[in-house]
Amino acid sequence: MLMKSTQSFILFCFIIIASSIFGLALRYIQVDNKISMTVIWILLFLTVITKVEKVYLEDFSDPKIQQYMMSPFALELIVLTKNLMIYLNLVIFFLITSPIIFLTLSIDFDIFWQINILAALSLLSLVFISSITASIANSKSNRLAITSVVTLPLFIPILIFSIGSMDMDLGNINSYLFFLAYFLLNLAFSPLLTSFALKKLSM
Amino acid sequence: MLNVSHLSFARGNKLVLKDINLSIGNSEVLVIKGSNGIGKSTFLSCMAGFLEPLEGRVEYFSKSIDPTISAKNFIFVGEENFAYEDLSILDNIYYWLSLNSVTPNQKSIHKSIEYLFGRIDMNKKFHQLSYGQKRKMRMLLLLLIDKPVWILDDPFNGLDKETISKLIKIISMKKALDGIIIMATHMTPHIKDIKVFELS
Amino acid sequence: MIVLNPKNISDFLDRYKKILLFLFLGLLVVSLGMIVFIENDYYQGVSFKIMFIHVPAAWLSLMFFGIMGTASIIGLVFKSPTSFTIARSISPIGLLMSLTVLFTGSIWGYLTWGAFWVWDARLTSMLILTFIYLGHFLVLNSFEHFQKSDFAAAILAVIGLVNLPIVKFSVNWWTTLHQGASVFKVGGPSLSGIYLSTLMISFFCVLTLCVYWIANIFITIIEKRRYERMKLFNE
Repeated sequence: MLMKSTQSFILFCFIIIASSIFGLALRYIQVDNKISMTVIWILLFLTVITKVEKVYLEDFSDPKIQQYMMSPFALELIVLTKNLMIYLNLVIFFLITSPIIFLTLSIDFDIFWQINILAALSLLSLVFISSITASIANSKSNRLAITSVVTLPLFIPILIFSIGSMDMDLGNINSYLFFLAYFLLNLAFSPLLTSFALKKLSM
Repeated sequence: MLNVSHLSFARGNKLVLKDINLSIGNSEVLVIKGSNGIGKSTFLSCMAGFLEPLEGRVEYFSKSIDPTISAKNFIFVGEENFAYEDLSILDNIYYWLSLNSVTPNQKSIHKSIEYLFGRIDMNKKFHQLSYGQKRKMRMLLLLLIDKPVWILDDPFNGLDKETISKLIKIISMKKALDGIIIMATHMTPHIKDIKVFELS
Repeated sequence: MIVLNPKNISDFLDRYKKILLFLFLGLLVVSLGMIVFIENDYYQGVSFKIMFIHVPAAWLSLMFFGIMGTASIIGLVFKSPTSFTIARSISPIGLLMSLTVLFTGSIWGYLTWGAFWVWDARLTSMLILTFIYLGHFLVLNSFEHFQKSDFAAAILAVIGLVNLPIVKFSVNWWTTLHQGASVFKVGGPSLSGIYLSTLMISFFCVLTLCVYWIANIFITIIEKRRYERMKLFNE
C-alpha cells in the first residue's frame, strides 16, 4: 500500500529503454546469453539502488522515523517489512517487464524461468544490502550522494554468481543455494545494521 | 514524572545543550522557549530518547528512558509533517494507529476528524490538503492515541486562531487527566499555571 | 564509555613516533641494500623486485582492513570514540596501500605477462577491496559532524568485513570455473632463503612507515578536535 508502484513502473521503463539501447548498439553482433545477463543484472543493480534509496529517503526521513521509534514495534521489524515490500514490488515488475527485455536483447525464451528465478533470488540480497547503504549514505546530514559508490562493490558476489551460473548448467542447484545462503546472511545482518544506522544517523 | 538532570548534548565539537536540569510532574505543562536555533528541537529529541545525550540523563518515574519506555509512554509530534503524501486522510490515520498497535475505532476517528476539520472528505489525499490542514493532521495523533506524555515541537505554528484555541483546549484537558505535556513554542498559550523554561 | 583516553594515546604516540621514523629509515637502508644486491630472477629479470613493495602492500592492505573492521566493531559496541578515531586514521593509509598494490601490480604484470590488467581472482578481489576502502573514505568525509561519519563508516567497515570473504570465495569460484587453476601465480617460484628475508625486512619497513603515518594522522585529529573544543569554551 505504501510503496509507490508508479515509481517502480518508471524504473522498469528505464530498464526497458536501457536494454533496448544495448540491443540497438549490439544489433550486428552475435549477443550470447551471458552478455545479455550482464546487461540485465547491471540495470537491475541501478534500479534496486535507486528504488531503495528513494523509499528510504521518503519513508525513513526525519519526521517519519520519529513516529517509527515511538511505535511499540521494533524498528528492525519495520525495516524488515519495508524491505520485503520493496522486494515484492521489484520482483513483480521484473516478471512483468522481462519478456520485453528478453525480446530487445534477443535472449532465448527457453531460459525465461531460470533467469526470473535467479533475478528473484538475487533481488532478495540486493534489497537487503542496499537498505544498509541507503540508511548510512542517505541521511539528511550527509553532504554527498554516495549511495551507489558504496553499494555497487558489495553487489559483486551476486553479479559473479548470477553470471557464473550461466556457465554451469542452469539446472544446477548449487548456484541457487548460494543465493539463499547469501540472503540468509544478509537477513541476519541487514535489519539490525539498517535500523541501528537509522536511529543514529537520521536525527 | 519526568526528570532531566545535568543534560548536555554536543553536535560535532559544538555543545548545543549545556547542563540542563528540569523536573515535570503529572498534570503539568512545560513550555520551552528560546530564539531560533538555540536547540529547542534538539532538547525535545533528547527528552524523547531519539538522541543520546553527551552527559546527564532523562528519567521517567526514576527510570532512565529507553526505546521501550518512550514507545510505551510518549507521543512525539515533530515540527514537520510525517503523513504519507499519496495516502488519504483516513488511510494515514489507519497507518498511524496500526503503527501504534491501536485498534481503530470508527466512531472516535470520525469524531476527532470532525472536531478538528469540520466537514471534510476523509478520502482526500494528503497532498491535496492546504498547508494549515496538513499542520492540523498531526494533532489527530493526540486525539486518537492514548499515552501519558506528549512532546510537541512548535504545535501552534501555521494554525489559525480557532484551531489554536481548540488545541489549547485539548492540552488543558490532557493536563486535567494527569498528563505531562512538554512543548517548544514562541507564544505563551492561555493555560492555567504553566511552567516556562527559557533555553539560552 | 571510553576504553582508552584518546589524549593519553595521542601523547604516547607523539613521544615515541620518532623511534618509528628512525626504525623505518634503518629498515629502508637495509632492505634497499638487500633488494639492490639480490640476484635477479632467472625468468623475470629485474622486474620481479617490484615484489618487495607489492607483496608487503598487499599484506598490509588486508591487515589494515582487518584492524579497521575490528576497531569499528569495538567502537560500535562500546561507543568508544578512540576506536572510531583509530579506524579513521587507518582508512586513508589502507586506501593508499591498496592503490599501491594495484599500481605496482599492473606494472609488474605488464613487464611479465604483457598486460596491465587481467581478471585474475586475486586482482579482482584486491580491486573490490580498494572500492570498499574508497567508499569508507568517502563516507568518513561526507557528513557534517564527525560523530555521524564515524558511525556510518564503522557500519560500512563491518559490512565490508563480512562481505570480503564472500567476495574472495565467489571470485575464486568463478575463475576456477573458467580456467582451472589460476594461471598467474603471484610470487613466482616458491620463496626461500635470502628472498624470504628480504621480503620480511621490506614488509617491516613499509609497516613502520604506515604506522608512523597512522600515528601522525591520529595525533592531528585529536589535536584538531581539542583545539576546536578549546576555541568553543573560550568564546
